[in-house]
Amino acid sequence: MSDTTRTDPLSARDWHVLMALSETDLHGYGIMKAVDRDSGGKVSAEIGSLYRVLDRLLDEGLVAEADAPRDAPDDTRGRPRRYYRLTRAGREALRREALRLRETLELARSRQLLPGSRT
Amino acid sequence: MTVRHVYFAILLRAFPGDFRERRGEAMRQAFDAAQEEHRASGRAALLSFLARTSVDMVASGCRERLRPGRRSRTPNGAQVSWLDVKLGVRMLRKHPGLTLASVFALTIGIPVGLGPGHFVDALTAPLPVPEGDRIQVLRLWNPAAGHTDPATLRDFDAWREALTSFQALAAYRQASYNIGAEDGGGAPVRGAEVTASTFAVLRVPPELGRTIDPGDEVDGAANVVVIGHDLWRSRFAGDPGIVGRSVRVGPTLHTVVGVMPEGFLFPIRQQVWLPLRTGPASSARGDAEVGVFGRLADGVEAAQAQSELSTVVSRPDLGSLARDEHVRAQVSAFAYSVIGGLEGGLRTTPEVLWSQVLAWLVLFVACINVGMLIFARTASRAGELAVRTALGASRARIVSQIFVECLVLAALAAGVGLGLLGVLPRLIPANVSAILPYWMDFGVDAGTVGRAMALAVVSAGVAGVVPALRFTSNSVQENIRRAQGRRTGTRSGGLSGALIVADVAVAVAAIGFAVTVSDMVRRAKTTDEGVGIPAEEYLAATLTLPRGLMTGGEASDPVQYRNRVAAAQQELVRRLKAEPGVKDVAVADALPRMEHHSRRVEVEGEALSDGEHGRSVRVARVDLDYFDALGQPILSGRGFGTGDLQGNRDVAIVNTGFVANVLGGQSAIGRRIRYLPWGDGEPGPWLEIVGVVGSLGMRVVSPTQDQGVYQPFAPGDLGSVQLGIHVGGDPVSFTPRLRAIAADVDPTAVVTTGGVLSDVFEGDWYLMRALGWGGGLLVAILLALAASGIYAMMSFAVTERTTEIGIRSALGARRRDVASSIGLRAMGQLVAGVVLGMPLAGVFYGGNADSALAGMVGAFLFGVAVIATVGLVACTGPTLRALRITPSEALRGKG
Repeated sequence: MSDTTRTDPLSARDWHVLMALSETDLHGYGIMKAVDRDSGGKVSAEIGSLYRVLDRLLDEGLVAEADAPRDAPDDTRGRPRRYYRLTRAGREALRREALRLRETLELARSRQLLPGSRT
Repeated sequence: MTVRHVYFAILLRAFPGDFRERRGEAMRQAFDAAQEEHRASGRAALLSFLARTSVDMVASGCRERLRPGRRSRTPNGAQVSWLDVKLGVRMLRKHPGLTLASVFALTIGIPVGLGPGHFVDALTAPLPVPEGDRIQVLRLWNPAAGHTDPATLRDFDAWREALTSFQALAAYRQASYNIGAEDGGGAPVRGAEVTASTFAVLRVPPELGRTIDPGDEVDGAANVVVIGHDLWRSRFAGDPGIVGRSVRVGPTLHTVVGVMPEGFLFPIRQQVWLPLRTGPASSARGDAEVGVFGRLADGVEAAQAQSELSTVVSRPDLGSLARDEHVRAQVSAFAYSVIGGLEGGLRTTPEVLWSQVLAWLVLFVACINVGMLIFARTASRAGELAVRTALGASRARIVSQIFVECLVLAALAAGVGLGLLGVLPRLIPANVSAILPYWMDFGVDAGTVGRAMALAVVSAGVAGVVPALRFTSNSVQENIRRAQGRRTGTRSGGLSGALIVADVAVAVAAIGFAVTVSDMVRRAKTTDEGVGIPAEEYLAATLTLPRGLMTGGEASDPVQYRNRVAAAQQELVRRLKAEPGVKDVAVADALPRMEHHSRRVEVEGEALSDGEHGRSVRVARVDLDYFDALGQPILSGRGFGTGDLQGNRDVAIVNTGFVANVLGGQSAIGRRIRYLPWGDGEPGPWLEIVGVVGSLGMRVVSPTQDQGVYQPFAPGDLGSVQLGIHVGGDPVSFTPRLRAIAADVDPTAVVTTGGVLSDVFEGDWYLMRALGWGGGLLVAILLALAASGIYAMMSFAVTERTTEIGIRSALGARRRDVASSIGLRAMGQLVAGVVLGMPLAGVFYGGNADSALAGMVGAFLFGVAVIATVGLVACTGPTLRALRITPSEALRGKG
């Protein structure tokens, strides 16, 4: 665990992975589908890319491994699937990023860069 | 464990060992779940998923290995440094032959791998206007009929009213116009009638003046025209005072109100834009066919817009024309306005998917061949690697170093390959690029560079990592012992030999294919056998009377329009026949040598079994004197007469191909046939066969399948007809006279000439030419790959046998014997490949029943000679290298 007080902006992929886990604990493929759904397909989370991100987020302490839900089916080899959950630090990183995005949005609105912006 | 599991396990090897240990199992679980779900969605979805996953796994694995500051959690893991890159560059210089062969193979493989995707990107590039990707075309796809149903002005009005997914909609209709100064004349120019909203949707301001205003669309408004930059420069010498000048467009003078900037050629390659006078939707004009497009509203995606359009189309009460229940609304990128109706886009068509798979296969073969070269080079460094291993370098460290060396090589090849792709657009002939849509962009952009680099990484993985893993599989002691004994520690095994044999076999088969295609093209081009007339004596021209330039009454009243077209066609043909030097004029919707429409017919009394859709035939609509004008006798029955134009016109003349292939040689006269619909629907009326004519080149590329049906048409039936003018001598020189007569007959008449009929290439011709080029390219690629593979094997064999060669030389073996022993294995592989390739080549010849035996044998011998030459050239370098090794060098172990 390298850093539990991450303050730099999150990348789009980090943001969507953490966002996916903010709702419920998920296994890898569940995260892939959630990222695809939430980003409207704009953020790619193929297996290799996703697990690089997960590996780093686990290392940074923003995500942790979790027990599989009782009713979750096992994998094709009869082994329990690996699940992941958002840690307190992860939730805090998400919150900070959301605040940062809100500030960015407000700045864009104030410069009338968005439709419906008013002075 | 399935093949897919094994494949994923291989992909996983792209990641460092410690990463695999931590996340490998979870990644496998995710792969299992994902592939199960994609498999349920169909083969295309599964293939697409596997392709995406493959690229992503290799790219991510490499990124993970190269990540700065990556902490390996196993001791002495794979680390990559600048030193490896420098070493890689040094290796390129140290082994120039190997570098050249490898770069050559990958320089071919990488652009071929990129090719299909690059072509699709070019074809479907967004319009070159601000936010061009938001411009979408609205179409009605009829899957049962296999084509799009044209939209009408009435649809346009209804959609413009009802749709909220678009900021604005616009409509256009293409045509050609005779453009000149006040005095008239001039050659035809491609143009379009467009709604005023067109320019607002495209967001392109004029270079001079203004664009078309809504006021210009009103019936009775002054005639205005907007011209393109190129036309302004070429016809009007870039006159800065062009705005306000009068220009003759067809019969009437139009005021130039604006000039569009250079490069604006909407919708295809237009240079003239007139107002599309929409008129009231209820008038006959409302049924006029138009192309409809629009700019998506902010935040709206094409899928949402399509869903809304589907709703509007399904409700005729909103104003759209009532449609067949099968018709589906489509909203897609503007490029699809010329590509046709494709559900799921061009990328998901089987043709593109298969091309992509084949292209990747070529790249894979190239990688394997380079892999063999790398393997041979690694083998020659056995001593160096053994020492490094003994000093503590881990297997991962050595593998990563070889990978980086290979990556340097692949990156170099990708760079050269990208250069080739960049040059490609310049090789497109001017007459072809002049008809390509203006948005097509074959240039190399950042995305192409990114994909090329990704392919370079994958290539380096396949070509470098696999041989390195195999080579480093021995223990430290074993490597040292073998290095001391001047042995490489491993053997290439039978796989590489089998690959070379396969390379050669496929190359021989490809040569057979290329020769067959070129033979067909040559025969079809040089003989008139399939055409039936001396085509070089005919001038081919298209006569069109654009409806858009008619005055109000004629444009909206079909009967008036038809009468005018009929009068113009008849008068033009009469005047042409009266011209000195003109022998006759044939009028039809397609002339011999041109691509004729295809239909399916049913013969009365011959029951169709379930699932059978009748016989495919080519059809033409011809005027009553067509066969006389072409000097074709009626072989049996009678020709068309004026009586055939009365009533239902339920008569047809068939050709001898039809009698032979469809009627089985039985008598045709009096038999009845009818056209069948492509999808659901009622068959056409029965047509009685009244005559039989000889073959007239309805499908000249495949004369044996040239079964056709002719039906009569009356002047005025077709707004656009083909004229085959029998001039003799130099037909092209008659073009100015033809234009002058046409302009005299009707100033709105647009005559475009296709040149001499024997030079007309359409439809299948382009396919054949593309096949000819593609076949030639494939042969060149496969020969190059076979040559590099043979070179690799020879090089490796020399390295392996250094000591043996030295001892043999010391014992007095002649140079010739040494050379033959080295070359024997390669020649054996060449012969095996040729023998295996012959039956494959025979398959292509078998499909071409017209090929003479002598031609087949000649082509086989030609193929064998080419392969043997390539093999000999590939053997020469390594053999000379072997012969340069002296006995003392070999025995000292310096070979």
